[in-house]
Amino acid sequence: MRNQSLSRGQIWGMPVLLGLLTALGVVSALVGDGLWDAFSWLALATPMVCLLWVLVQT
Amino acid sequence: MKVTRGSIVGALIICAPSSTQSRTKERDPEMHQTNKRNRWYCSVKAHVGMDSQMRVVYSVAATTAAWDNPVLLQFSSFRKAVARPEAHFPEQEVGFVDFPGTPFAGPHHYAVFMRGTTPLTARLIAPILINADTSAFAESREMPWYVTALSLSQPLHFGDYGGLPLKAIWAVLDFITIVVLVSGLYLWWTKRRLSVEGALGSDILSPPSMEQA
Repeated sequence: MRNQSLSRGQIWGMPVLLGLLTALGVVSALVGDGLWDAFSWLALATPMVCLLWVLVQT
Repeated sequence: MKVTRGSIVGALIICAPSSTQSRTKERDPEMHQTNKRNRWYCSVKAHVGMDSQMRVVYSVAATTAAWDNPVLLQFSSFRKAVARPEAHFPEQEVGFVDFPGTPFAGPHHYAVFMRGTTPLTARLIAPILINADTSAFAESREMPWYVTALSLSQPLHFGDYGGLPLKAIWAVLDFITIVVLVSGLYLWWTKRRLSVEGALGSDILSPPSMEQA
């Protein structure tokens, strides 16, 4: 099996990173306007782009 | 307050010093003004229930002195009612005002709800009661922490913040969540059906292929 050879960091690193980015994006638009909003758009669009990329690859 | 037979119930007004020349430079904030026979009192009203035979006081309740007063027929001007909170909180704006006689405000007050002007504080409201007859400040309260938490997190529930792009992203994320939920339900249901069939001895699928699923 392929996942046997992957370390814990390799499996969970990316999901945790995307989760943190999502949380930051959700909160940043709450806190401020302007740049804060723009950051939240980027942060929340990232997981969606990743999803699209994975869907296209498979 | 319950009134049973043989009871004496009376209301008396307990006066508080109305001077503002005290150490704190203000009147006791728990005291309220009332008008009895054209004299103004700054006080609490005590409602005392007493048994006429036992001569025992069985209940004492203190309310604001304005409690149970007749309904006001004339209100002070709206502009005056709003002026005091606006001056007191210069960095805030008036969110909305409830007029006397409505449930939030009660019969004798304007309820002025102030809110902040930054994105973070715009949803935090502070209620201030203004006497409807004199336009004087009556009462204000800090919102409890759970109301603050609810108000702050409200946009997270509705997804109605951060401009149109965030709303669009929110809608897509909603859709993705629905897909994940429904596909999870589908997998659970299929696996459950297969395992029930397996337990009943059906030979549609052999156990090894079930474990792969």
